[in-house]
Amino acid sequence: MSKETKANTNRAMNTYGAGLEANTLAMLDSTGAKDNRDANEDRLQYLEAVRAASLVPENGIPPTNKMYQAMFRILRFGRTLELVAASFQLLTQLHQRYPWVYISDGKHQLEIVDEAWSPFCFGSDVDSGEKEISVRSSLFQELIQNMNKGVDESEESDLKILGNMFLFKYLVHVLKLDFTPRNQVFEETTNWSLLKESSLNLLLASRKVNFKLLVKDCLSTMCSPFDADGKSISLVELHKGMLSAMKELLIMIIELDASKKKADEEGITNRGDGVRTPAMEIIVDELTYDEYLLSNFLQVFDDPKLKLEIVLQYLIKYIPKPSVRTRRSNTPQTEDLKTLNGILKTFSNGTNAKNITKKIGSVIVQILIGHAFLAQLTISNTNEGDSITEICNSVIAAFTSLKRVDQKIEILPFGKEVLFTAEMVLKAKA
Amino acid sequence: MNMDGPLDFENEDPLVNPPPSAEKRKKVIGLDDLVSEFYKEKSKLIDKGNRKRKASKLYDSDDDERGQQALLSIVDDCRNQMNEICSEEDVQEWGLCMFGDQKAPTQSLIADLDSCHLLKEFMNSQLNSLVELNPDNGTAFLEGLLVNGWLTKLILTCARVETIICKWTLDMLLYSSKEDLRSSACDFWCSILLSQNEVNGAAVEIEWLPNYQILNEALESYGFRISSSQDVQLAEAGSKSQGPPQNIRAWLKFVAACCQIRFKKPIFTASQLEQIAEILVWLLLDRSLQGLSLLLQECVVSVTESFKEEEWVSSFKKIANSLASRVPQDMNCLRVVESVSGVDARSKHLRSSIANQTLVVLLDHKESDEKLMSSLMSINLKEKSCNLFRTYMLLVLAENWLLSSKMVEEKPVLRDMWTVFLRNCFCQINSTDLRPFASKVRTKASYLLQGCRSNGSGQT
Repeated sequence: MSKETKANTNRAMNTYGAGLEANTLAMLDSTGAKDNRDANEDRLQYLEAVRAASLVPENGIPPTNKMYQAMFRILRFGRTLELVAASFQLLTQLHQRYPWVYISDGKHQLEIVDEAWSPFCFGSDVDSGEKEISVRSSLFQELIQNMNKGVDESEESDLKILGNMFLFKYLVHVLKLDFTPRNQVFEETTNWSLLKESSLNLLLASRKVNFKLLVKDCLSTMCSPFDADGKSISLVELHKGMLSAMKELLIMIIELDASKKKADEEGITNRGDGVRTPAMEIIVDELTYDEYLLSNFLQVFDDPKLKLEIVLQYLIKYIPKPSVRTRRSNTPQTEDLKTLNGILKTFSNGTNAKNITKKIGSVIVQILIGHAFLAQLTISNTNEGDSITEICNSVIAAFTSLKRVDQKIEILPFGKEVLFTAEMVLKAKA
Repeated sequence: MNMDGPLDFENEDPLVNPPPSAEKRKKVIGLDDLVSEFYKEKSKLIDKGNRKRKASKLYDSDDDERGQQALLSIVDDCRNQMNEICSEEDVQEWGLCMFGDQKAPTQSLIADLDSCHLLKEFMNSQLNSLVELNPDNGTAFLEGLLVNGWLTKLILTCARVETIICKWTLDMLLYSSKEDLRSSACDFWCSILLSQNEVNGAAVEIEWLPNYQILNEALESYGFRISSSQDVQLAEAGSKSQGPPQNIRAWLKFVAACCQIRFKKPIFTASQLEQIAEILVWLLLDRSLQGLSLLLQECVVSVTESFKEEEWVSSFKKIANSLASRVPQDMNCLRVVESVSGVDARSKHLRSSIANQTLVVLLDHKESDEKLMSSLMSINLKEKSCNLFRTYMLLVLAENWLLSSKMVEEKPVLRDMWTVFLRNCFCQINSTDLRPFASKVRTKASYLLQGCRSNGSGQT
């Protein structure tokens, strides 16, 4: 789909927009005297009319902010699944066609549309009409908490649950469309103000958000068991979509943290930017000592780079500090500990393996090594040439070393799968 | 009829005089107000009756008894009339029940894992002393590999997958009753299929690929009611049936992935693709699958995009033809049109074409586009017997036919005829017309007329 960059004939567009706004919104106006079914029918008509005007024609008219607001109102308060799904789809397609933040072709410059509509509202100076519809930080946090309540215990109706999932998915989608280009340009230009004004940053910087709680809620939602049996097909599909949205949210937060750290180091942030514990730290802390959470989280969270980083941060805490061992080695140990291979090598030393296992338990060691290996396989797939065979060898060596140190150590089914995979990759690459 | 003269309502064209936003918007049509006013009047009448009745009760005189009875019967008449008017509802809903009872699959894809090369090779290795893999725990082990994602990564890294593994994983995808198995199997297949499109990464060499037959059999075992050879026999929505198993989700994602690699590895022929496109649209008519509507529409896009250009020119017509001749002639035929998103070029094409073919079927018409439009223009909406629900369908279909494509740009005469039809719909229906769908037809026509004007002025 072609991106409609700066409206070439802005004024003409505005006139059309106003006319379109009046004509389409009139469809919703007359709902007062009607019963529910009629009103729902009108809303569907409205959505179809916006689609026909803004999406179908090659030079479609972008919806006005009021029209967006009306669509979002249907998404938030729609009383049938059909309405909620249709408004979700229409809004996402409109955002793709008419982005409010994008990188201009070839120029590596960020284009931001002035006064573009957003489902979020972080300021306090909003007129009361929009207040009830726009999403504030506190509502977003509440939404995540609702997701965490789980589908089973909730007494709410199916539609309410599905509606909340659609809403959450949509909001994360908006955050991502807003964040990704800003972060990309930040990485090239280190212009912090771009990120500072991103919806994600504004959302998290709000005093109404308990950041730590938010991250924890995400974790426990992602790790809570979900039994698909006996649930509707729609619910199972949306639950999956909700989980992957939550994963995307966490990834964005971690990326924002990283960019903020970079900006801090450059000295371009100020006290107004606030301080918060990086999400990665919170995650690693939460996972520590909780075998169940750890194993489930690593299973669900499949971004290979971040997953590898989480495991490495976890393991590094328990690996003997390099200063003790520098006597015997010429290579700088700290550098080694930044890679999986380096860390795995410390396991081949029997004393190290014994110490680490004693501290964190053989089960967790296996889970950590396994998931780091899984992540590494994904990364190596995309950039060929890395010493994948070397890593396979180190993985096998680490496991055999564990077993050598203590014969009683039970190798988990998961551990066996690790060994199987490492061995078969070696055979294929041989 | 004077086609160029302005109509009275055009003077208040909000495009020319955009209404100030702070003010209450001027409604395009105040019909609803009129209707509600009408009801209000009637209920006032009833209230009056009630009040009179109460008043008469105070006297409790026998003389009033007869008058009271008479009044009561008038009130009753009023009520009945009102109920009659109200029960002729303007709302009809789409929805078909596409799935009957599930059947056992006719044949299993699972072969004996004993001959699985992958497992056998490992059993011979030294490391098996730690893993203790043997023919008895082979299946369980393979399930673990699949669910935890090892199998996918292993196959992507080794860039080759043997027949037994292909069949076993596809069987999990299509028939497993365990969510983690079917969804992991789906991830597995999507990854190895899509690796064919990777520019840099190595494409996985897949020893065995499924065919359309296997997928179709699976769908039939889910209880899907329409096969290509059969005539449509559909239960109305609401009839009790089991519905499809959760595997339908994996089925859809798998089919989409197969389509996405068609240029590299054709799995379906063009005519099979046509059937798949049709199946997807049918699935969009099932309300129990509404949560899948996004997935379904993405699938439709994957399918339409996978036709080669030379196939598409004839295929889109066949899809449209087949759908139009089989879909029930009620709200469902509008839903069929609206379920094709109309965002990309091909889906616009398809949307327009389905609308056109449905018009042809509804009007029993096989001649030129102009003839089709003139039979729309010749509908007399003033006629009491005129079926306005049918007119409403024709209106929406014609809108989609003409406006989803470049039809009106290519044939300006169609645009003029379209405008006439819209004016007929608007002018021949009185704003106080209480026939079912009268208000809908009128409102819709009025809205579309605004569009004609803005388009017209936009191009000059």
